[in-house]
Amino acid sequence: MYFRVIRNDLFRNKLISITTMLFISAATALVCLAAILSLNLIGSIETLTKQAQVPNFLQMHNGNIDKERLNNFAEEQENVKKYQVLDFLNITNSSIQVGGNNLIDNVQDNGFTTQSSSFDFLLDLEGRPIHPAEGELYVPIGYMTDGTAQIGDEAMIAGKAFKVAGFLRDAQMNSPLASSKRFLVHENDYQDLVSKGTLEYLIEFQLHDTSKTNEFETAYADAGLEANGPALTSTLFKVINGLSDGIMIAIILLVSFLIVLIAFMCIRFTLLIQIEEDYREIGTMKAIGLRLADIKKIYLAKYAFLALAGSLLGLLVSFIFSNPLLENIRLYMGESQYDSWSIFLAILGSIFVFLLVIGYIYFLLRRFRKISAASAIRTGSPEENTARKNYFLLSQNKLMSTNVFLGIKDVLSRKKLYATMLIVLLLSCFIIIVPWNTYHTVSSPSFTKYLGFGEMDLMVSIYPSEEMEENKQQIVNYLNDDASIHQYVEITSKSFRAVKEDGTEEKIIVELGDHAAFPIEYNAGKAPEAPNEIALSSLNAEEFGKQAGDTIEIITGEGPESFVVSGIYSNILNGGKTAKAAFSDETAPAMWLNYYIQLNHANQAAVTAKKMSQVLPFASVTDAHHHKQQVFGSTMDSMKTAANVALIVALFITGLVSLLFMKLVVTKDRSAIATLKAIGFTNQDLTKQYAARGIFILIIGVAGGSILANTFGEAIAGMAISSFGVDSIAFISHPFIYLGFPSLMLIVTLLATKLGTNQAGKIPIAENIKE
Amino acid sequence: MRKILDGQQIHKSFDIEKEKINVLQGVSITIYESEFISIMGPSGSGKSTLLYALSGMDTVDSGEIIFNNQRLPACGESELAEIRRQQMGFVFQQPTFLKNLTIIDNIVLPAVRDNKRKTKELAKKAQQLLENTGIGDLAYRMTNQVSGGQLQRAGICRALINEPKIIFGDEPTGALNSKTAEGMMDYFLQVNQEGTTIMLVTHDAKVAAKSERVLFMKDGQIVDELRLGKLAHQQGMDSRIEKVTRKMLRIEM
Ligand SMILES: Nc1ncnc2c1ncn2[C@@H]1O[C@H](COP(=O)(O)OP(=O)(O)OP(=O)(O)O)[C@@H](O)[C@H]1O
Ligand SMILES: [Mg+2]
Repeated sequence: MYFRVIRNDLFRNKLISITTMLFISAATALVCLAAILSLNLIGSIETLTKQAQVPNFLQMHNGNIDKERLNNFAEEQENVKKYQVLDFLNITNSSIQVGGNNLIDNVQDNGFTTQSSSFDFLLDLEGRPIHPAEGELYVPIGYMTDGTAQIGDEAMIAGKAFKVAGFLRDAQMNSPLASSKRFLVHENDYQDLVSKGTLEYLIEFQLHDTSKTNEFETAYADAGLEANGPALTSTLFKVINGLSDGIMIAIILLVSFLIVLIAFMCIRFTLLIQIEEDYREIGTMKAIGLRLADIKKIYLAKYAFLALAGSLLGLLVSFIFSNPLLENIRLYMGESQYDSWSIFLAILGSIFVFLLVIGYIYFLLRRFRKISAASAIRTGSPEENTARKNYFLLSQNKLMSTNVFLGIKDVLSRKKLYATMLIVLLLSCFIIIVPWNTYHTVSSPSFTKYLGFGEMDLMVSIYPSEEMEENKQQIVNYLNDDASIHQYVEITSKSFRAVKEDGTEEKIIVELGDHAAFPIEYNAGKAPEAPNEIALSSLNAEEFGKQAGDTIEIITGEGPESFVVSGIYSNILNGGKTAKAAFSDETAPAMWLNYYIQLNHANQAAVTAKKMSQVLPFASVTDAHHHKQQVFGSTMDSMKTAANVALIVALFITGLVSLLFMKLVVTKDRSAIATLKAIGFTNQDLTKQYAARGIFILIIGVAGGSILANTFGEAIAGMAISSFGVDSIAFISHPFIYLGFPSLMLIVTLLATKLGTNQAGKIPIAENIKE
Repeated sequence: MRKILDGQQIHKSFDIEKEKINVLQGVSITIYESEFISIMGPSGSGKSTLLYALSGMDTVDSGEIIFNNQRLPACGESELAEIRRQQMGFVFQQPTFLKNLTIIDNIVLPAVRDNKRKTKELAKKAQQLLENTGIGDLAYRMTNQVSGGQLQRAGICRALINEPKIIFGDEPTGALNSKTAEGMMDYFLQVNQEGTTIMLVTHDAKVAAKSERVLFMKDGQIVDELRLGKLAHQQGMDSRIEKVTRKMLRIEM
């Protein structure tokens, strides 16, 4: 029996009904997408980990290796299930030619290897270990997606010809955030290549009890075995694999949360207007004894219909969109074992949104109880708050033009109504500012300060060798002579042992040198200056249970020494466990040596890097900008895309909601408009009044949105960025973000207002003056 | 006497579902300065439509309307608005106020738009008008906090704030009880005596009897006219009422 009432109602407010439904479906689609993506991401990572049989602990080593000793260690350790040492044949990038592309500009360490016989397999795209034939080359999957290589390409590796036979998944090194990439070749081909490159070793362990990985790591370090290079664990591989997609999912979740809020606003707003329009009728219905529950049922049925249609549509859309988005995950990591579960979870998600909407309608309908039959019939509209009537009077206003005054007055006296538009504008502003600020922060040059290294242009590194002293001198001479170099500093990384809370000792790598030249951002405290000061990376601070101001005992050449923790900083290099200090200890052997270099002109970095690597062939020269671009480039690109999408979405929402809102307000204001026109206000006056309302709300919305973005938004963005290993960030903003984008919103709001209110001029006085 | 408003051969029709209904069928009406004129006629005869046409609130199909030497059909929307704002006043049957403004703000509304700098004087003037109509203490109430009759009087104050040449009233007493209605009429008379032209549409013979001239409409035309002359000291009201009633009855038959 309600069917016709509902149908008529939906038709009468077509635009509103469709918009409400679309917002509900958008919210549902995003929630479902997030569910599908995250479950599949987890599933794919697990599949990949299982298929590839990832090691639980991995020590990279650069230099000579004593296999006998390692073997003994592995046998002694009860927790070791399997153990192996894999070769990683590092070949200079300029000697790697695939198809028409030379990898010279690539910052990854590209290496060659053969298939393992035991674990840590390199997989084909079906998830099976690859066994290449002679002459075949298998290329990391990342080089397929960035277009470097295609199947069938001719490849030339250090003078030896190969054919690209396929692509491989590497559970350890898939991600662009991992700094090395493994190519796979046949055993015989590998033997031919060995002499052309430098050999590194991957010392790998699989454990029985993976929960004791940390203990094992310490045991390994304590045994004083090969450790010239970073040590990694399987947890880290999972995190690195999931990171970029994880960020995407986090953004989708955040946006879906905001869209749900906007959908709520739409519902609240239309319901409010409708209740107001139906007010007299509701009163009459109550007067003739219709029960409140019956009236509620009509509204509820209408929105239940919209919510049902919306969430079904959203579910459908999420299924359609999940495929292209899952493609990347599937390509890099393979099928997920949770595929069907994710569909189930998506359905749960849509039911969740549906119930949320219904619950919200219930909540809104509570206001019905407050309508008394008598007052509804008498006044015909809900009583507006008239308590504070004597402020902001037209008859005392000398400041504003009458039209501006009337616009603002209207907003002030109908706060509940305008709250909807305000919240939508506020959220839109938030949606614009947070991603842009995040992107701008991450892409700004000084962001590296948060990553544990200063604003350098170049970095020159050497590893210990026989000729170390000689090489050092050569580098220093070069740096002193080249006029394009502004300043440089020498930092030596040395390995020490430090005492933990429980008295046990653990390895700690300390960067020794002058840390004032290239300052970094400290989460707490400051840089180490005095010889008895040390700064810890946040992971190390956690590991050793220290805070700024605490003391830590480190065993140096002079025996145990006490150091004051001067500061804590974020760092993602070397597994995030580093320390910085200014003391010198000649007895401890250097693990590697870095020169941080700042040029007079940062844009000379690439040229200078090239020159230096020619003059100093024994050193590895890194162009910091280029490096950052390659490591974080894809993440920054997707952040920029996300920020652009957010901008467009927010502007669209701003426009759509303002348009709808103004249209409804005009309908509602028919009689007031007729009155104003009768007493001589022009159509232009009306336009100005509505524009004043729009701008007034926009100003408050933008102000509120900016404040929210800089507090709450910064915290959320900080959480997202913390996945890079950065603990606390402050937005590095740009004036355009706070001026330009709100101006865009202003233009959109004004256009929408103009469009939504041009009907006002056409409202005939005669028919509407009677109320 | 000078013509203030002169309408000739006014035609106006509405299209309702492809059917054309002619509401004004060649109405000609001339109103002179300082006149007090009433329009009567059966419901649906086109009285309100005529009033909206003469005041430029609605367009006409054909015909000429000259107000204070200006040709209204030739004016644009904003010119018409300006004429209404500066030279005309309106009182309607239903009070038409902005609900979020106080009484006094509603009254100054048509005036402050052009004279923002004189807000203070205008507020004073509005207060004086309110005192004159006997509701001076209601100035700072909201419109839903006063009675219907009080609101109608406030309506007159708003109509007068710009010292218009003419006041149009569409059944301004229609929603009031007879005693309040009489008070309203007396105030109109007083305003008229001060020189403002008044044109009222009414159903009430007692109201029409107070005016100088009564025009009778039927089926979109002016069919008759009754000249009563200016009312002096409320004298001869009974006979004036009788004359109006008799004519009205004849037309309705
Ligand atoms: N906007 C409109 N659209 C269609 N027809 C209309 C419109 N306005 C008025 N009419 C018709 O024009 C005719 C005259 O209407 P008008 O309002 O002028 O009558 P009236 O004389 O003022 O009547 P009343 O005394 O009841 O107020 C009526 O038949 C009415 O139905
Ligand atoms: Mg009428």
